[in-house]
Amino acid sequence: MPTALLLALSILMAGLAAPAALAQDAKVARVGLLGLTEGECGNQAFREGMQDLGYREGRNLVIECRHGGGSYEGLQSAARELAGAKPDVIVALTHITADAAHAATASIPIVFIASSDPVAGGFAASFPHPGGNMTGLTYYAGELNAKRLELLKAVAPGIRRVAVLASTVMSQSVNAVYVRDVTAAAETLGLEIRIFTAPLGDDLEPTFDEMAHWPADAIYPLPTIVFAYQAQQIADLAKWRGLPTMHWYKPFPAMGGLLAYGVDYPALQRRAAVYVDKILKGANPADLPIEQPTQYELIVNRATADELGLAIPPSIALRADRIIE
Amino acid sequence: MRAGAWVRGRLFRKYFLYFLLLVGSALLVSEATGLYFANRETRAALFTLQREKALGAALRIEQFTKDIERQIGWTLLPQVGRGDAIGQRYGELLKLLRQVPAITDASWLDAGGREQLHVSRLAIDRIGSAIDRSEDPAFRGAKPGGTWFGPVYFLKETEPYMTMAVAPERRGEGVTLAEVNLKLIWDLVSRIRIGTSGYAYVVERGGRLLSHPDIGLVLKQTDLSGLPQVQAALAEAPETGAGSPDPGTGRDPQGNPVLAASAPIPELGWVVLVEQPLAEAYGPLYAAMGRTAMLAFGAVMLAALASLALARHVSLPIRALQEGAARIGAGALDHRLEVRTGDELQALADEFNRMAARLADSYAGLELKVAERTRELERANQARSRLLRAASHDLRQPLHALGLFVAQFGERARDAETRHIATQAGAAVTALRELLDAILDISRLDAGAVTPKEAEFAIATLLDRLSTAFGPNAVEKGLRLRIVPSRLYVRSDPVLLGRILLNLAANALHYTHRGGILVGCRRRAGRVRIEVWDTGIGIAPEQRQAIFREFYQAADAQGAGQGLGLGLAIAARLAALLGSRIEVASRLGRGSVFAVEVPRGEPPAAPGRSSAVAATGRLPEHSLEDAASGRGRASYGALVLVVDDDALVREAMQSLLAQWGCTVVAAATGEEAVALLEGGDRLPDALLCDYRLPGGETGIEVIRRLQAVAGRAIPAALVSADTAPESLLAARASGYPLLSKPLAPAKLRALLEHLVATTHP
Repeated sequence: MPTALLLALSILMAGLAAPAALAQDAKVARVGLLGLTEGECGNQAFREGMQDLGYREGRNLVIECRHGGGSYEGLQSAARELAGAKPDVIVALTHITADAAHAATASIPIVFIASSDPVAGGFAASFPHPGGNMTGLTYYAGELNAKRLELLKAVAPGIRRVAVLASTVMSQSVNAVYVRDVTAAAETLGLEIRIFTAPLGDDLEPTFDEMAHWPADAIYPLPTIVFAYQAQQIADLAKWRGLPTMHWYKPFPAMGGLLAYGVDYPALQRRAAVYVDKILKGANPADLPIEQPTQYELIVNRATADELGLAIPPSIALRADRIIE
Repeated sequence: MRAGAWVRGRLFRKYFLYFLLLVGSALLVSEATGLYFANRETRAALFTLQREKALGAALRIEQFTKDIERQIGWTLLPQVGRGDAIGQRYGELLKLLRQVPAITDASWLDAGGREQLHVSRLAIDRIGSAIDRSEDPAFRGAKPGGTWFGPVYFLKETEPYMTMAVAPERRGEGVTLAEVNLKLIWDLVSRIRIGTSGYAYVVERGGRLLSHPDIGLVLKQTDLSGLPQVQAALAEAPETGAGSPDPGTGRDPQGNPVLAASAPIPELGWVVLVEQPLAEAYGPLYAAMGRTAMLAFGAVMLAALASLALARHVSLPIRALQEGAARIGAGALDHRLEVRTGDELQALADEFNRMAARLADSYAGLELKVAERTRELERANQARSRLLRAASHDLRQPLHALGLFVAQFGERARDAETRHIATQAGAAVTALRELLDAILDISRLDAGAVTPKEAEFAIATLLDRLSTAFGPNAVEKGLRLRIVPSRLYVRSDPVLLGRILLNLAANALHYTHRGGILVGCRRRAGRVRIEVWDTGIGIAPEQRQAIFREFYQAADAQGAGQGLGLGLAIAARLAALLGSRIEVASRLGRGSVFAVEVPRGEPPAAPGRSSAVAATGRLPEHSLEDAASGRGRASYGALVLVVDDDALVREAMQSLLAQWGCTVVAAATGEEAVALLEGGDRLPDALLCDYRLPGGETGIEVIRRLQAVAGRAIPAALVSADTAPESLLAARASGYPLLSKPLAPAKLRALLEHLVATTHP
């Protein structure tokens, strides 16, 4: 009888111990991160998002990052290289990297943050049912173009000609969408626009010379990550040229720029981690709806406005989430 | 014993199962009852918790909409200055957008339903567009002083939105419309956590998901109206507003069972549901059940051990009782049961012990009685033997003397008539002596005084003797006696076997009146079968056992009164002594055949004196009349010293020996004989000494004294009427010839001749 008792107990123990043993075997997630520049590999917001979901780098998470060294071509090869490494998920935190990843693989799940219309860009079939290997978040870059121009005009009511700053590091399709939206908005607002394509790097002076030559009354950089890197240069040159500028990049006014109206980008990056988590847990990206942010912030640099001789109207003051004095 | 073990095992098992069943079922019932109530209480507690969470969430959502309502209300306050009314309202709407992040667009319609203002976070603001929205359900639905909640719609198919329209008390102030992004309710809902994976969500009237911790599901416009808990909640809640229905179970979109509670938001027609996977909700319950099961298992195991011990405790004494009883039953009456339970079992064991003691006592008494009886019987037997021996001794003495006198008388008879009388008297004495001998033979055999001494010898020696012994008698009776010669050797006691054959032949001769007798030997697988055939009267089958009884006499008209009826009885006893038996076959009126089987022997390698002849010296003289043969005159003139305490015997001996020409000196005692020897001038040629003499002196001692006195070995013989085996043995051991009384005169003479011849070779 004691023998039988021991046997029963040991079976019971084994049964209890088994799930614990299985839990120890948790797979290490391999996430591929694609960046245009080396700096994007160090993205903290996304890492925080992963940490919030219980991932720890080196233990159950490996983030492999590839970057294009700041060039469009480099980005394409980095994307191919990353796809070749076959990570569980590829994370593309900008529209341009998403585009490169999209070109590199149609099978590895891709989580993106698209600044343009992901459906028009070919990333997804629809917002609720992306249908392919890509899903993620998007903010209404296209519509916001109009809103930004409106706000720009509200602060600088006298402007007529707006120089639209485009980047060489942009896909033609995305570029086309932006131009279409901006043209439509300009029409509504009674503005004239002209596209100026800026080179990559820190020499935008020739471009600004061209704008001044047109002559432009204001500057509007299109929503591409490149202009985040060139934000300080744009702020400095714009102030120097006396051109009111509306940027999508929130830190822009703090750099001396006039206006910024955009999303909380780090929040979106954190949110991207949720998509990665779901996919790692077996969700099909085709079934994960594309999310759209609802929070936009308007930031105004009053000092710059003063320098430019502009008064901030009450409607802007009411709208502004932050006014830098 | 195996059956016993089985029975014991059964008793033990039975008790064990009884106890286990009793204790185990009591334990299990109590555990199950406890579990049942714990289950109910836990469920109730879980239900209450979830319901409160749902109610709280409903309340907060209601609060959320109330806040928005109030914020929108601010935009409808009557304008202070009439100057820039539109501009002021524009500012109010911008403020509204700032105050309420959930509102992405806000419009103000004038009393006529024309849009005067539209502000948006995404689109370009419209001021004074005067778009006619009087047919907009929001405009129409907004009652003065009230709020209209539009149906939920999804912007770009993914973002849940609801239009709220607030109209002031005074109709003239127009209506403010706000597009509320319901995703912000997510913040509220996702904060609700039940356990680790329980959550809350909100569905609208149609069952479509409005808010869920997983925004993806909301964005997918998931329709949950198919879930049972949603159906139940929608069916009861919105219209009646009768509070949340009782929580129940449902299932999540994946089909896993959940514990669900709901709370309605009547104003909006929404329902807040709080769900927790059943597996998790009942996790602690299941864990408790598991613990209880483990405890119950452990308790049952303990109960089993206790039952084991108890069953052992109960069955051990019973087993001891059973085993003890079995041992006592098997005869171990001194066995005692060891049961120290201090209860009825011990009492039972004590009773058993008492019973065993009584049995032992009575058994011992019985044994004692048997032993006593046996001793008594032995004593009686010995007494009878002693009596018989004494009687035969006392009978022998006068018979001995009588024989001697009759012989003397016959020799002195002068006329024929007297001689005839003497012959008749001699025959009567012979018959008397034979009877006495036969009786003594039986007595000796019964007393076990005869031990067979085996030897290998030619059967022919015995057959020859038969021929010698019965040849004359057969001729006399007119019968044919045929002895078939044989060269076979046998291994047996020649004396006893010879006696058997003599008796069988005598018996055959006795009961045969015509025809003849045939004696022959057959070989039988290592044995020799000696058969004695006769053509006598035969034996009836029912008499075949009786003929071996003492003094049995067959009814025989012609030969009545001739035999003693002891011959076959002796033959049967001797055969038994030789490890054989007398077989008999017979046909009444035709004849009989008696047979005896003995082991075959091997003929000796070198021819020499037959062992049978050598053995002849040991023949019991009194039973074999023909042992002595031949006559001589050596004894004539010899001096014979006779020692006998019986005066009659001394006188008879003296006169008989004197007739044979011997000089006889007689003494009554050893002393007297010694005196005679010492006083005489001539040493006697032979000593004849009675074995038993007065004063406890034996003949052997007397002979030795006389020889000592004489200074040389005088030939001597013992004469005894004593048939006690020990006396015979002692006499034989002395080496002196022994003659039994009553003495046949011929035999005495032969011995005497032999003795004197030894003295004078």
